[in-house]
Amino acid sequence: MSENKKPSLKTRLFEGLFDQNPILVQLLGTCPTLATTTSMKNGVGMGVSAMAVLIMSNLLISLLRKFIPKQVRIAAYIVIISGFVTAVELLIKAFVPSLDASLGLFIPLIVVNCIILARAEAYASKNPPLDSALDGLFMGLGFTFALGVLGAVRELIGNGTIWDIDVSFGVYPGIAMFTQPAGAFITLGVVIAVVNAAKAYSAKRKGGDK
Amino acid sequence: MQNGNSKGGSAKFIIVTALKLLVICALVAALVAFVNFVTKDRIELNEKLSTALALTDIYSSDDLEFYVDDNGEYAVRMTDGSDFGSCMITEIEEPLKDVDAVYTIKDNGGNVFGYCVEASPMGFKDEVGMIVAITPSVSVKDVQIISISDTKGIGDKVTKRDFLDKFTDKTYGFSQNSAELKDIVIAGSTRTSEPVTKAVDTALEQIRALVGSQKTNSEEGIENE
Amino acid sequence: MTENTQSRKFLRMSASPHVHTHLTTTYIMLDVIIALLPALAWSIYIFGLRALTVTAVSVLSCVIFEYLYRKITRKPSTIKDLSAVVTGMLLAMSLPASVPLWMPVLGSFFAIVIVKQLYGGIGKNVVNPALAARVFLFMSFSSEMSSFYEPHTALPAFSSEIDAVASATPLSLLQKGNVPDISLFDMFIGDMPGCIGEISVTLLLLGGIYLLCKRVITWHIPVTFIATVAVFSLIFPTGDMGGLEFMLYELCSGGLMLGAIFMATDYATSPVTPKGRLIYGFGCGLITVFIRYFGYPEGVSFAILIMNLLTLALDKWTKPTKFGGAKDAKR
Repeated sequence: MSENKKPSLKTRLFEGLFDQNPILVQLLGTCPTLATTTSMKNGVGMGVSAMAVLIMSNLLISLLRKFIPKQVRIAAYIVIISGFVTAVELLIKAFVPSLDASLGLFIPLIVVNCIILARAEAYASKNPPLDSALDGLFMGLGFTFALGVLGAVRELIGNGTIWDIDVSFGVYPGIAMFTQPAGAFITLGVVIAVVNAAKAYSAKRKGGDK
Repeated sequence: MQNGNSKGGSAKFIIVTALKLLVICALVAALVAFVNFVTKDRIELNEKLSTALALTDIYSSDDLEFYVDDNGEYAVRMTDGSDFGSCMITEIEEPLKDVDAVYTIKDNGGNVFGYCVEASPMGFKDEVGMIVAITPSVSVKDVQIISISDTKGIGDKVTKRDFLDKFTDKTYGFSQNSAELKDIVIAGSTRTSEPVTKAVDTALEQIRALVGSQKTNSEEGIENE
Repeated sequence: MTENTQSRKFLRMSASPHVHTHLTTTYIMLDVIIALLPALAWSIYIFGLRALTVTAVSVLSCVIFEYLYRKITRKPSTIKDLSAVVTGMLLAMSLPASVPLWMPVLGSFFAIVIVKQLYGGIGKNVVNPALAARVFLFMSFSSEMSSFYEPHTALPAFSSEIDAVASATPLSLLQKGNVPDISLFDMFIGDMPGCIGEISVTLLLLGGIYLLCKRVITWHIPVTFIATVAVFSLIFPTGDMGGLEFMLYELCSGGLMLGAIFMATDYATSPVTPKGRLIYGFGCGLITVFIRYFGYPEGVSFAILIMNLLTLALDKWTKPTKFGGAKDAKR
């Protein structure tokens, strides 16, 4: 998080991916996470779409941050975010219709993805445009990364494939529950536990080194 | 930092805030309009392509292949590449409920080979895009679901073959028969399967009306289309 | 909660002599195993040695997984308390005898590691591990979990190539309103297709009576559970059957007896208070009936799992009021 000294780009990237990962650490946007990670392709597709919206909305909100009246800022943010989501939805329908078919209703639902509103409020409304756009990029990368990992795990266990490629040579029947909601919750829980364990371990190492 | 100075409720403040919001909305609207303008044709083309694919699937046993020609219109040919009649949109003055379009497929001799009705009844959450292929004797040849955004595993049971196959050879009015209806509609996803079933019957009714009016017209010696 | 931490700090121990009790977890679990053995033996008679192999694989996997988990996470080993054995037996008994042998292994992993150990081990699980594993297998491999064979056809002990006559369970017939083609007498003794532990109502009831006598379980949950299902089946028969006939068929089919006597009474996942237990049993019965009528042919597993989740709330609501003692500022 930015204090007096501005953190380097590399730090911010790692924050977005690990320390402050929107899904695995901040636990934002769990609804689309659970729903769209049925396969790695869907997860990454959702991540990239949301990232596009995040970058654009952060940019525009930051540009307008002195213009948007404070008392009605939420309404303004929502209008801007929905505008970009609509734009992204149209672009997906036009250029990647297969993604539209698999993500379906969850593309419009990006509007209420907590991550976007949270970053708008916490960062874009208080920082210059380029920084805000970069914040959108890093948070978006973290989101996409988490979705990719979750999607890959669920697809692998549930289907025996990764990115639609059969890695089990037809042997593995696939445990269907993991492509269903129950498996989504369990996978998310386990991945968060692993991330927490990794963080605790690295903190111990850093603390113990000195 | 912004308008905190003026008293929160003063008229000037309200007007200024409203105007600012208006500007933001206008800005966003312009953006969306622009993207829409850029993507509109592409999206229409994509939808036509998926419908053409569905039609090819329906008539695959007749060795027909549907595609979208350079003008963006539907066209049909044999799978070996030779010509086959046409697939033309038929104007309907007052289409029945949920009917979007009707196409008449004619063979090389100009005889009607079949009809296709595009319908979009309202399912559980959103419209269900479907095609009903109807034979010249007004019975169902096949039904295909083009687009559906209902709950996975529940609503999308209507896309399964064992449901859609139930419509084959049905004729107009089949959904009035409650025993037949009960057999078709899927318990547990009635909110989607019922509208779809009704839409198939509506399609049959539409074609029945079309064939009827064509007969009347030709009887009266008026050329149609 | 505050009371617990207080009393933990100030545990007073009086001087000897002390009263001993032999009631340990192991002892209780042993009683449950004994209660299950008659039904298991009957299954082996009906389905052949395969029933034994499935059970053995299940029990072994449960024990091994528990041992490994406790070893890897450097916690004290708990396999001596035999709870893993019981979970293994219960899991096996809720599977059809024809399942491929890797399925009980997978189910055991799910039951022991995910449902039980990841939540803190015995006593801390939120839902019944064997039941949750059964539902997990059912959701993931519905065809294998729903294929049943005629009784008295010996299924191969190890191989997964099964060449026998398939049959529908009485429950699936009942749901459509048809009378099952098995006599009530046969169903009561257990000469019918079904999962390994579900078929013999007589022997399960026998086991239940044993557990009641040994005070391992109390009557509240099984009786209310079964009675609720009985009453509803009596009042609302499906198809053309008479109420009484329908009720008796419903009581003898599926996992009702196994679930009501052995699964729903699991200590960690059922309420402690008598009133809570009555409500719990009633809830289980009610949901079972609902699902059997309007949803899947079998509703017992889902019903018990749902009521498991309500156990904490039930315990809170039916907490007995205290009399006397110092006035607490807060309850």
